[in-house]
Amino acid sequence: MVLLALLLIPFLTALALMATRPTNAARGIALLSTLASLGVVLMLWYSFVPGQTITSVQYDWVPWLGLRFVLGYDGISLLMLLLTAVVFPFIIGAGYTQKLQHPSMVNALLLFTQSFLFGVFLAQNGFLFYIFYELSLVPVFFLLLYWGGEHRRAITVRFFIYTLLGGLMLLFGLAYCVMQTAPISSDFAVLQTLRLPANTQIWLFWALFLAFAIKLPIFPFHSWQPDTYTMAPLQGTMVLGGVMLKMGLYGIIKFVFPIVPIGVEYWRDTVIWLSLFGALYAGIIAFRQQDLKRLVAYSSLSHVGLLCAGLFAANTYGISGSLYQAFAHAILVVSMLYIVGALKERTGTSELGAMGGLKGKLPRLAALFFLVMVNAIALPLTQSFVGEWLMFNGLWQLNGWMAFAAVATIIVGAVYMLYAYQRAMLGPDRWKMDMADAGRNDHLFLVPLIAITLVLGFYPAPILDLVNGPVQQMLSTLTALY
Amino acid sequence: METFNSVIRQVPLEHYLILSFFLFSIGLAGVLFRRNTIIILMCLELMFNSVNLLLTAFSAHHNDPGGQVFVFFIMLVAAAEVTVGLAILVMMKRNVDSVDINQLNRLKW
Amino acid sequence: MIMLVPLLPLLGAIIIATFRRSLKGNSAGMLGTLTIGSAFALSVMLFLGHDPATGPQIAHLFDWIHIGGMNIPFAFQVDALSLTMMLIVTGVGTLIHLYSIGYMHDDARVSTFFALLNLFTFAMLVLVMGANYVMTFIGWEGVGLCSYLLIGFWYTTPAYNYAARKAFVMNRIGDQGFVLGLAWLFSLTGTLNFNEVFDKASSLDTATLTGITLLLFVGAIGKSAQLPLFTWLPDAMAGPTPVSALIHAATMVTAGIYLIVRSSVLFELAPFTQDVILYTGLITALVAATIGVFQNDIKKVLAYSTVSQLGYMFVALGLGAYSAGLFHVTTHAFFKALLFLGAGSVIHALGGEQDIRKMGGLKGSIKVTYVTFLLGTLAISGLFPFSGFFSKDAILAHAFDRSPVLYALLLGGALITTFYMFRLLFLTFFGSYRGDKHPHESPAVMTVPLMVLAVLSVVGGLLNLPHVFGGHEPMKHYLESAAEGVSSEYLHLSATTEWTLMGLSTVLVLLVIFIAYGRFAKKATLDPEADQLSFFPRLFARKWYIDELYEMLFEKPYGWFSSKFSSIGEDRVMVPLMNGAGRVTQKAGQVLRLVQTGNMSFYLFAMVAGIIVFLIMTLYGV
Repeated sequence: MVLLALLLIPFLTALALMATRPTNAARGIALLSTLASLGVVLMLWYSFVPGQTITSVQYDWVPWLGLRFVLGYDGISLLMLLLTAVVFPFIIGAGYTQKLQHPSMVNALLLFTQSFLFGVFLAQNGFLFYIFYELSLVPVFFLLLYWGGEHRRAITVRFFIYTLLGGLMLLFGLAYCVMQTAPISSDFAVLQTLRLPANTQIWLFWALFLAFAIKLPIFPFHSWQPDTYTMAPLQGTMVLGGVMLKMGLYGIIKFVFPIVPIGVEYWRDTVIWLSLFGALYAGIIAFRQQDLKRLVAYSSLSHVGLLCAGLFAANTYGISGSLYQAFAHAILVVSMLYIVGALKERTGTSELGAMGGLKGKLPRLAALFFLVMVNAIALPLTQSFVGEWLMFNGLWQLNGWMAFAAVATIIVGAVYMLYAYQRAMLGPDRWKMDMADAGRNDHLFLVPLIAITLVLGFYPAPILDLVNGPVQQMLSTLTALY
Repeated sequence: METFNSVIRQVPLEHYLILSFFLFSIGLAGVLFRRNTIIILMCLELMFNSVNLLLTAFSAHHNDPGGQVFVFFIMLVAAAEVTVGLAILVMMKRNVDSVDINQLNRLKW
Repeated sequence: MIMLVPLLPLLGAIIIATFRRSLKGNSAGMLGTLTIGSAFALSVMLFLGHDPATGPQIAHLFDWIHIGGMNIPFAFQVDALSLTMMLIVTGVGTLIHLYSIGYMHDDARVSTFFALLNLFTFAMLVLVMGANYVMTFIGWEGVGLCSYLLIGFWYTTPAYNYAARKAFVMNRIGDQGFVLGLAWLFSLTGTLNFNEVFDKASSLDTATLTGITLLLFVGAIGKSAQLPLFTWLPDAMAGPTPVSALIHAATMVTAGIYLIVRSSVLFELAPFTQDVILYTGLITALVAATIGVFQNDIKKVLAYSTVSQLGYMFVALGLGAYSAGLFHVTTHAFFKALLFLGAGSVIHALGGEQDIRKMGGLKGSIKVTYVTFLLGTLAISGLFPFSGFFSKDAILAHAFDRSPVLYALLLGGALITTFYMFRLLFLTFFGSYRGDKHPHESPAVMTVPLMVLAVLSVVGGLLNLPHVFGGHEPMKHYLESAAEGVSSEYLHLSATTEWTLMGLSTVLVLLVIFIAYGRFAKKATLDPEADQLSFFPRLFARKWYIDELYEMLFEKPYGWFSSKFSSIGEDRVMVPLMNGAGRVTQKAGQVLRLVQTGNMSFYLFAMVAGIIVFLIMTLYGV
C-alpha cells in the first residue's frame, strides 16, 4: 500500500492543483507533496535490507495481454526512486526563480511526471512499465509546448515523435517477448526467465535497446537532445536531464540485460564505442558553446555516454559505477541548471560571451558554481568520482582502450567546464549594474545538493550497498547464460 | 417447404452459378463503366441480388436455412443502402445539378 | 593521532572559509599558520614515535569504495617515506604560511587565500599519507584543484585564469595515465593497498609492469612538470609568490617523485621504465636550464630552475637512486622555498615589480633578503658545504657510476643552473638600482621564515651526509624500511673517484660564478628583447617554442574540432539526418496523396482490381 501511496501522493496533488488552480500557494503545495514522497521513499530505504526484492501490490488488469498491476522494488529500483524523490523537491523549488505563468499548471504537470516516474521505477510488469514510461512523456510534452522558449513547437514535436518512435520499438519488442511466454505474462519475473534463440536475440536487442538509447540519449540518437534541453523551461530541462534519462538506464538493466543477454554480448563493443565516441564528441563540442544552457546540455550528453559505456561493460564495477554515477548526474544536472537560471535571472542572458567578471559582484554564487563544477569534473571525494572510478575499472577489465577513451572524457570535461567557469565568472568586472549575490533561496537550493555530493563522495557505502546485491544477482544469471 | 426446395433442386447448381456469375458481371461492369449514378446504384442492387440468388440456391441444395437468413439480412442492408444512396443522389442533383459520377471528384486530400 | 595531521589543516580551511568575512586583519593568517604548525608538531611527534624497523603504522578509518571484489579503505599510512614528506610539507608549509601573513597583508581576499592554502596542505598530506593508491589520488587531484584556485587567485586578470586552466588541464592529462595505471594494477592484483600490491608485484610479468609503471610515470610527468607537460609550471607563477614557493617548488611538484619512490618496488622490476624516467629527467633538466638563462622575470627564472631540478630528481629515480632523489627533494624544498620567498620579498619591496632588468643594487636596501637569497643561491649551485652540494653530488655520483657521458651532461646542466642563478642574484642585488621605486625591507613576519629556511639550506646536507665525509647517510637508512628500492642502491665508486668528481664540480662551479660576476655584477649586461637575439639564445628565450608548438598542435585543432563538430557534425549531419527522417515521411505522404484523385470511378475500379488481386492470391495460395 505504501507503494500505491507513492504513486498517488503526487498524482492526487496534481489533480487537486488542476482543479482548484491556486496561484500563490501552488508551489508550496507541490513542494509539500514532493517532500511527503521523499519521506515515504526514505522510509522505504530505511526499512530496506540490501539484496532483497519486494513485491507488494498485485492486481490482474488485462490478463490475456499479460498486463498485471504489479508494484515492487529491488535495490536498483530503490536507488532510482530515491533519486527521483530527492531531486523533485528541488525541481519544484527552482520555480521560485522562474516566475512562469499559471504556476498551478506547471506544478501539476511536474507532479504528474513524478507520479509516472515512480510508476516506471516501481512497475514489475513489462506492459505496466511501458504504460508509465510513455505516460511520463505526456506532462513533459505540455510543459515544453506551453512554457518552452524559441521554436518550442517544432522542437517539442520533434522530441515527442523521436521518443515515441523508440517507445514503439520497445512495445514491439515487448509484445514479441510476451508472445513467447506460456501462459502469457509480461511480469519481469517471467520475462527474465525467457530463453530466446541467439539469432532472435541479436535483432531483438535493437528493438528493446533503441527506446532507451534515444531516451538517454547516446550517439547517434542524440540529435533531439541539445535543442530540447536548451529550449525547455528550466524545470523541464531539470526533469529531462535529471530524472527522465535515468529511465533509459533503468530500462536497459530491467529489459535489455535479462531478456537478450546474448544480444547484449553480441552488440556490446559497438554500443560501448558509440557511447564513448559520443561522450568525447559532445565534450569537445561543449568547449565552444556560447550558451551556458546548451553547454550543460552537451555536458550531460557527454556524461551520459560514459554512463552507458560503463553499464555495457557488464561487470560489477561498470554497472554499479554507472548506477552510482546516475545519482550523481541527477544532482549535478539539477544544480548546474539552477546556476544557469540564477545567472540568467541576474544578467538577463545565458550567453557566455556576454558574461564574465561576475565573481567580483557575486562571490558567493561563484563559490557555489565552483563547488558544483568540482562535482562535474569528478574530483575525488565528490560523488562523481566514485562512479567514474568504478566505471573506469569496469571498462578496463573489458578493454584497456575503452578505459583510455573513457578517461579522456574527464580531460575533455575539465577543459570545457573550466573554460565555461572562466568565461562566466572570472576576468575583469564588466557589469555596471547592481546585482544581488546568492541569497537565502539560492543557498537553500544549492547547499543541500552540494552537501549530498560531498557526503556521498566521502561515504558512498549506503548507495553502493543498495546496488551491490541486485547487480551481483543479475551478473550471476548473465554469466550462467553465456 | 420441402417441395419448394426440391423444385429448386431440379435445376442443377451449375446453372444458378452461371446465371449469378453473369448477373454479377453485368452489375460490376455497370458500376465500373457507367457514369450515371442512378444506374450505378441499380447495378449495385443487381450484384446484391445475384449473390442473393446464389445464397438461396446453395441453401436449398445443402438443406441449410442459414443462407436464406443471410439473404434477408442482405435485403435489409441493401434497402438501407439504397436509402442513403438515393439521399446522396438527391443532394448531388441539388448541388451540382447532375448525376454524373465524375462530378464527384472532390473526394481527395 | 595520525588522522589529526591532515584533519587539522582541513578544519582550518573550513573554519577560515566559513568565517572569512568576520576574520579581520591577520587573524585568518594566524589561524592558518597555527593549524599547520600544530600539524607539524604532530608530525614531529609521529616521527619521534615511529620506529622504522616495525614497518608502517596504518590508521584505517572505514571502507571507502567497497563493492564486489573491490575494497578501497579510507586509510592513512605512516612510515619513513610519508613521515619525510609530512615533515617537509608541514614544516616548510608552516614557514610559508607565516611568511604569507606579511606578504598577503594588503590583499582584500586574504582569508580566502589562507583557506585555500590550508586546503592545499590538507590535500598534500592526504597525498603523502594515503595507505593506498586511490587515497594518493584524492590528494593528487586535491592539490591540483588548490593549485588551480591559487594560480588564478587574482581572477580579474585573464592571463592568470588562462595559466590556472592550463595547469589544471595539463595535470589532468597526466592523471589520465595515473588512473589507467591504477585500473590496470587493480585488474591484476585485485587491491590497491600499497603493501598488498608490492607483495604481489613479483608475480607480474615484466611487460605488464613496464606498462603499468609507464602509465604511473605519465601521472608523475604531469604533476612534476617534466617534458612534455612542463609548460604549465612557469605559467603557474601567476599565483601569489608564497603559492609558488609552497605548491610550485617545495611540495606539490614533488608529488611525482613521491609516487615513484613509493612504488619503487614496481619500478625496480621494470628497467625499461627506469630508462624512460632517466632520459625524460635528463632532457627536461637541460632544456629547462637553457630556458632559465634568458628569462627576465625573477619568478620565471626560479620556475625554470624548479623544472630543471625536478629533472635531476627524476634522473636519480631513473638510476634507481631513490634516497638520493628524495634527499634532493628535501634540500630543494628548503632552498627553493627560500629563493621564492626571497624573490617574494624583493617583489614586496619593489611594490610588485618582477622584471630583473628594473632591479639592481638592492643588497644595500634589503639586507636580510639579500643574505638569505645569497645562501639559497649558493645552495642551489651546489657549492660545498651547502645542502645542495650533497644532494646534487649524490645524483651526479650515481650518474657517473652509470656512464661518464651522463655525468658530463648533468654537470653541464648544474653549471648552467649556477650561471643563471648567479645572473639572477647579481642583476637583482648588485650594481646600481635601475627602477623608480623605493625599496624597503619586509617585516619580521616575512624575514624570520627566510632566516629559518636559510639555515636549513645551509645545514640540510647533514641529513644524508655521505660516507666520504664521515657520515652514515642517515636518511637513506631511515628510508630503507619504507621504500624497498632504497636498499638496493649501490654506489661502486671508490673514495678517490668521489673526491675527484667533487673537486671537479666545485672548481667548475666557482669558475662559472666568476664568469657570471664579471658579466652581470660589474656592468649588468641586460638581454635585449627576444626578437633581437641570435638563433640559439632566441630559441632559449622563446622557451624552445614549445608553447607555440602546443598551441598549434593541440589548442587550435581542439578549438577547430569543437567548432566543426558543432557546425558540421551537428548542424549539417546529425540534425539534418533526424529532420531528414521526418522530411522523407512528409515527402512520401505528398507523393502518395496523389493516388487519391477524387475520381469516384477510379476508386471503384481500384477497389475491384484489389479484390480481384486478392482473389487470385487466395486461389493460388500465395
